[in-house]
Formats: sequence, C-alpha cells, structure tokens
Amino acid sequence: MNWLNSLLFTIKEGLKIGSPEWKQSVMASLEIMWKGVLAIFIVIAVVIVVVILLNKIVKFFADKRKQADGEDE
Amino acid sequence: MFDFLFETFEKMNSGSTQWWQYVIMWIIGGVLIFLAIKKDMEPALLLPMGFGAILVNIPGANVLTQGEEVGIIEWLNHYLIGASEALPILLFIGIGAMIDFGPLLSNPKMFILGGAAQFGIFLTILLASVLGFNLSDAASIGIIGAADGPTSIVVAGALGSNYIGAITVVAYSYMALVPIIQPAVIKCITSKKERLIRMEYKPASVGKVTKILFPIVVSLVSGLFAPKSLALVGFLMFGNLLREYGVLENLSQTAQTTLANLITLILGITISFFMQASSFATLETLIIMALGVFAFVFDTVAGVMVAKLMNLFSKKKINPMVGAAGISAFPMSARVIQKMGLKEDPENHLLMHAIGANVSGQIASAIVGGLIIGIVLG
Repeated sequence: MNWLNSLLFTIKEGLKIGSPEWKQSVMASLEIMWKGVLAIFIVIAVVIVVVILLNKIVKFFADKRKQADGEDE
Repeated sequence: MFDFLFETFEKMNSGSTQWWQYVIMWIIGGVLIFLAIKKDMEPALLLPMGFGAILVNIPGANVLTQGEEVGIIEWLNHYLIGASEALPILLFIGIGAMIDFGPLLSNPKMFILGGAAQFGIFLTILLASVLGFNLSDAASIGIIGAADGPTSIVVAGALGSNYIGAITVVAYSYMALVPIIQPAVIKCITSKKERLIRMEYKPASVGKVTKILFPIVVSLVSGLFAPKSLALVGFLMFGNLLREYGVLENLSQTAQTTLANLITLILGITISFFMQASSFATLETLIIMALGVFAFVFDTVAGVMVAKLMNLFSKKKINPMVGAAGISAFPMSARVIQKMGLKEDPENHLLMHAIGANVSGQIASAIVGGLIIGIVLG
C-alpha cells in the first residue's frame, strides 16, 4: 500500500490540493455552479411564461379577427 | 539540400518546442483530415482545422508572424476571433436561420430539458478546478458541455483561456461523437419500460406572428437577465427572424448556406492558430479531452433525469430519452433519439419532441455561455 500512499501524495502535491489558491478556485467554481443553474432556470421559466402568453395573445386576436370577418359576411 | 534539412531540424529543436511535438501535431492534423474525409465527421470544420494544424506546425512558415512579416493565419485570428469573437458570432446568424422553433413553441415545457442538459457544463467547471485549472480555463473547458462550437470559441476567447485550441477541437470532435456517446449513457440510466414510453405529437398550431415575435422576445429576455449572452443569443435570433419573416427568403437562404459554409471554412483554418505544438501537444490537452467526455456524459444524464422528474408531475409522460436531446448538438442529438426510439418501438416517433428539446438546448447553451462570461469576468 506504500505505492498507493505515494501516488496519492504525488497527486495531492501536483494538484496543490488544499492550498489556498486551489480552495479559492474550487469555491469560485461552486459559485458559478449555483448562480449559473439558478439563472438558467429563471431565464427558462420567464421564456416559457412569455411564450405561453404570446401564444394566447396571438390566438385571442386571431379569433377576434375571424369573428369580425364572420360577422361582416 | 541536406543543409536545408539540417536547418529545418535545428529550427524544430530550438525554443521551447521539441521536434516530436511538431510531429505529433502533423499526425493530429492528419487524423482530423481523415475523420473529416473518410468518416464524414464535421468535414466543413475538421478539414480546414486539420490542414491548418499542419501549416502552423512547420517551423519558420510564414502563416504565422515571422519578425515583421505578419502571417495570414495569425492575422485572421487577430481580426476575426481576437476582435470580439466575430467569426463564431456571425456563424450564429446562419445557425439561427436553419432552426425551426415550431416544435418548441407548440410544447414550451421542452425548454426545461434544454436547460437541464447544460448541467454537465457546471459539473465540468468544478472538476476542472479540482484538477488544478485556473477559473478562466476551467470555465472555458466546462463550456465544451455546451456541445456548440461557436459558443465554446466565444467563451474561451472572452475568458482568455490558454487552451482555446484544444477546447475547440474537442468541442467540434465530440459533437460528431454524439451518436456514440449518448446511446451508451442513455441505456445505462433508463429502463426498457421508460424507453418504450410513447409520445404523441399533436402540434398546437403556432401562428406566424408568434414565430416572428419569438426571436425578438427571447433576445430581450436574455439580454435583460444575462447581458453577456446577447451577442450569441441575439445573432442566433436575428438569423431565425430572417427565416421566419418570410419576405427576406433570399437572405435567409444565403445565411443558411453560403454564409454558414464560408464562415465555417475560414473559422476552421483560423482556429488552427491555437493548434501550435507548444500549446496543444501537452498533457493538459489530454486532460481536456477527458473532461470533454465528462461534460457530454453529464449533460445527457442531467437531461434524462430531469425528464424523469417531470414525469412525476405530469399526466402525459415524457420519454426520458428526449431529455438527452436537450444537448445543443443540433440536429444530431434529435436524430439519435429518434433512432433509439424507433429501435425500441418502430411506431414510436420521437423526432419532433426531440427537436423541440434540441433547439431549446441551442438557446440555453448560448445563454449559459453568456452567464459564465458574466460571472467569471464579474
């Protein structure tokens, strides 16, 4: 198991795991993750609501126009 | 003649780059050309990239700046990518003109799958940071998960990543590997019963006015919530508006064909600037290749899992495979899902649902790219 400990130590030292810079980088990545996921779902929710409203509004005016055309006839 | 060869060999060993790194790049260039011609993998891009990779790795060649003589590939990079990432953003006009958002507009909840399938990007950013890449490079590597070449180039360029060449090659190569990566992942995380879920396609009629207003509205919403995404989303939507407006049919066709092909050709050879041996033939490139696979795999996993989650709240079940089509590799991913669906049940046509998810992924990936630029640059 000495070789395994040695390998883990080399990886840890090579990646500077635990160093202040490494911690800062990982924390910044976590921040990107939660902010990004939250933001994308907010944008998508807004777009979905807008698309549904758009469909309804366009359909409303289209039906109104058909009705008016029907009455004219 | 032999003096000239010795001189060339000396040049290959001068500076920080070793002769074997140049040779590796010639081989990589050859492999990209082979994949483009023989395997038909993204030929419009991999062919010029492969050829360019060979050109930029010939020591002393005047495609790169030598003394006061400005090399053409370096010039193209400086003005067409270095300045505002112009080429990939202009390419989005052509891509937008190719997309029909009708299937998405008739079933807006597919947007959720497009968003979900970008989750692999964020996981990859985290993993890249853990592996020691700085934040800009980690974010640029993560965007490979957007499965969108122009978005990858724009983000990596805006963040000043040192690995833009590797990121671009990986992003475009892996897009062509979607038919191999996705089915394997989907089969691991779905049951036969789930893959057999039938989805009926009854398109709600989407009026022309809606299709015209949609690109304008999406640009507004994205611009307000994620201003840094507006270059990508705005140009994508502009291309789509050209298509949907109907009057500018010639312009729409030009955007979809001539413009897109021309830009792709020049983009490929320009990107080869970043494939110089000193920056490409490194251990980090191999790690980026592995992270790219990770990103694609977890995009697929996230899309499928969110589809399963939506089924808990929905009477009309979604075939979870459609979630995987939320990845932005358009239209490849949609075709993969259609093929998988037909294989399980020859009467289960999932294409239109998958296209809805796929095109929403196109929008979502551009928005995520802008979000990442905004968050990293502050």
